[in-house]
Amino acid sequence: MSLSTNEEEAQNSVTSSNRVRIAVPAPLVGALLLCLFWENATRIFDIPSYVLPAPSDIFNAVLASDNQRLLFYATIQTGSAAALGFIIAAVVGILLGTLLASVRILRRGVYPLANLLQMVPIIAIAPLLNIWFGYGIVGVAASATIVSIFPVIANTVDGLRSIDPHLIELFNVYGANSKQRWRLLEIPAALPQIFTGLRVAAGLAVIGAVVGELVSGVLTDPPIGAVIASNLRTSKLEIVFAAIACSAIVGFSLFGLVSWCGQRFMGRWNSSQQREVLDDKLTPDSERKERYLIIFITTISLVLTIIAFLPKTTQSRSKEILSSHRDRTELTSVSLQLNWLPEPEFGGIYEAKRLGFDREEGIDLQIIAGGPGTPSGQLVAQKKIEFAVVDSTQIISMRAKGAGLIGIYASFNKDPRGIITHTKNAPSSLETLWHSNRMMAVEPGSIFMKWLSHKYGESQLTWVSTTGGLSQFKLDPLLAQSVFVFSEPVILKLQGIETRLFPISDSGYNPYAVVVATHEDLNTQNPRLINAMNKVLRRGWSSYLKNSVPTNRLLSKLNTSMSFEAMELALRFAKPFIIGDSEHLGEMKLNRWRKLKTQLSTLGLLDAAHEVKASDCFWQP
Amino acid sequence: MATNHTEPMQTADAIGIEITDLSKSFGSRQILNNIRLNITPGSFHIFIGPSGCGKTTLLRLIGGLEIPNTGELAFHTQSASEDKRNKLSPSEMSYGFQEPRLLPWRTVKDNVGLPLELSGMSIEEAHQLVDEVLGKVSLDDATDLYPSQLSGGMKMRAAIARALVTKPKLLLLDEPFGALDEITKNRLDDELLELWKNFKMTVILVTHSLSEAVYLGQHIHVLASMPGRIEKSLDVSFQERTPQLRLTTEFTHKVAEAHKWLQRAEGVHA
Repeated sequence: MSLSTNEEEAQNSVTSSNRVRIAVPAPLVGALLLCLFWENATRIFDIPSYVLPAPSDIFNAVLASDNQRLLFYATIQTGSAAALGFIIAAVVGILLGTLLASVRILRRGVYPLANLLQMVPIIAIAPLLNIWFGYGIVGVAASATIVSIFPVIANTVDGLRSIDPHLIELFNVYGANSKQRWRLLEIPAALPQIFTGLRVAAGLAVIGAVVGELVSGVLTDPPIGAVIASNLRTSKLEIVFAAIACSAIVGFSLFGLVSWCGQRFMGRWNSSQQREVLDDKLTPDSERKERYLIIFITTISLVLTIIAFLPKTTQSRSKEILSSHRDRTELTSVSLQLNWLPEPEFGGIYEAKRLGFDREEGIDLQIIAGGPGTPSGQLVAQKKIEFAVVDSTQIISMRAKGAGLIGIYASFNKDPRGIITHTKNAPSSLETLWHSNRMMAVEPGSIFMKWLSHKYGESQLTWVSTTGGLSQFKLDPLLAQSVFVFSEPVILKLQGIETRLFPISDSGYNPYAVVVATHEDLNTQNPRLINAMNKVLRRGWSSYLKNSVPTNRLLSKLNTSMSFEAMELALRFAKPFIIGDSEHLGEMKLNRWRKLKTQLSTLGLLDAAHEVKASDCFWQP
Repeated sequence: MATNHTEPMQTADAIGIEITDLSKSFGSRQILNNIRLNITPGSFHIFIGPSGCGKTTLLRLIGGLEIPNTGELAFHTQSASEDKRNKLSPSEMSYGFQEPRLLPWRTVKDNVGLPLELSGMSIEEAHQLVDEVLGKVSLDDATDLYPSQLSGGMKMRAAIARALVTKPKLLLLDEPFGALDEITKNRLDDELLELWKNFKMTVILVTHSLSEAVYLGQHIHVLASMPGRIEKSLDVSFQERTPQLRLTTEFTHKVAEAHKWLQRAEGVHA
């Protein structure tokens, strides 16, 4: 009888291993199908690549050797940071879990607190990790550790606490001492659960590392997080998605490695147990259903593919502008999306609204405040909103991808970006700063840094990320940091720290900033509206620059993170940049757009897909 | 001194137990009351009774897994019957639980060797003893399998092998075959009798099966509950205990007698 059961078991395992061999490419087939649907969807619905890139766009981006190098080093960097973070989480987590499992008072008092670890919004403390652990791999690994350690602790505690009391009794009957019980019972019994924790932690460690890098990656050979952050900024989404795929590869590798170690450690008994769970039996009925499902999916994807690749006979129906055709006598209501919180950089806009200039020009203007990551350019390109504040570089780079963005009013004639140092140790010029061996904090993906490299040549600076706020600047008397003239220097000044500013425009790179943009279709359909909007903005700024007090009071109510005094000081710092060398407020010149376009293409930042004409980029009365 | 024998002269070493006025309660619940029992070395005893009567508790008290509230357990060997002790060392006694209690991460061989490993025996020495005992329970073919690959009967045999590997002088078994089917159970009963004869140890077995009790036991103690006490002790003597015995009238009469006492213990009057 026992012989026959053995035979049966043997047969079962043979069929199951056959099935496994068939099932191996299944996830691959699933991934390919997903890509196919995705590709078709982007084609059928005509989704532009700056909203959702098609898999083919991503694939093409990966084929470029520059990007391959970028992604390769990014993957190596993130992989090592995630692995380091994971190893720390594994070692510390298992030790801590063991301690908590064996000491009752710690389990009562500390274990509930360990729960807090998994509730930490890592994005909030990641910038601080730089300050605590330093820039580079250690800070990133710390982020990975914080995110991934809890499952290790929890599973170790649970594994050690949930040992079958029957087995403990068995060991007691045979007079086992506590060391024997530990070695022969508790550790092997807890091992499967500890490995479950480690497998969960492996995936989380990668997330932790990437999130850490989003805000704190060292910028020479950027890691995945920094690649994502900088390409989000320049809306090169195909690189962003390729980078996400790379982080998935890192995650899978780490997960696979841990699973493999688990197999080695726990040997055959565990894998034979797991097989029973995974080996779902296929009845003839469910097999038939499966076959129908396969036929169904294949048909659907075939049909979709045919639709997606059919030549388009009719122009794709673009969404109508919400409120362009209104009765002339009524007010045209439009919205303006800002890309940051209400601050003096938008002072003229709020002034216009406050004084009702919009109504006088036949517009009902609604101002929508933004924040970090507001996709203002995309919103206008997608015609989700009529107006938005963008940067002139954004207009050019999005036009290069086929978006119909045009600038209608440049709030800042001169680029308000600059680099600050402490007054005490200030270098003599931007160029000397560039060739010093200081540490420089910049936003990942800043175009002007590429320009400075181009202009001044190889730099001796060490790059770190600015997202840590100003703590690092205050700590390090030699740190240089990229800033907006109306932001960081104001905060520092109010705290009594004097800074020296080196405007980026000194280097010859001088894009228009805080540009109000719209879609060119709106200009074609309703040129009067654009004209009126331009007038509203010009009147608003002109009035605001004469007397800023009432609007700054309003702004400090709308944005409580800045006091009225800060608003006033910010405007004082910003004023020379708002006016610049313009004859009329807000106006833009063709030669400066041309120059900017040339600079961007010199730096290799423009897609060749759509030829950008400088004269198309902005509105002229 | 009696324990220093190297020859397998187990009869002389089998453990006898004198139980006097043993009581046990859990909280306010009296489980056992004034149990008196004399177990002679080398004999085979059965505890049978309605569920909740305390038969398992009695076995656990003997095995040292519970501490009695009052009363005394005195162990002795045949060769030194006056040398009374109230504790046994782990090597003298084995306890077979209701469940196999095998470690899932160890093969049959390593599970069976566990008691030897815990006593600090060298691996070579242990291997020999393990192979020997696995042959006795007919698990020679399964030595390298893991518990999850075994049938219920094979698991129980492995557990019995583990209990026997230390060559105990007292074997306590708590419903070892309770969860198995009739055919497997009968076969294991025969194997157990064979082992008892070979090892010449004292065996106490808890069961709720009357036929198993009559088939195996020399002395059957019927326990009554609330509180647990010995209602009746029956002596069973057959010429030979072979599978044919189960079909004889002699056997069925004995089962009927035990049944009568069991009903009385449950408070049912026929």
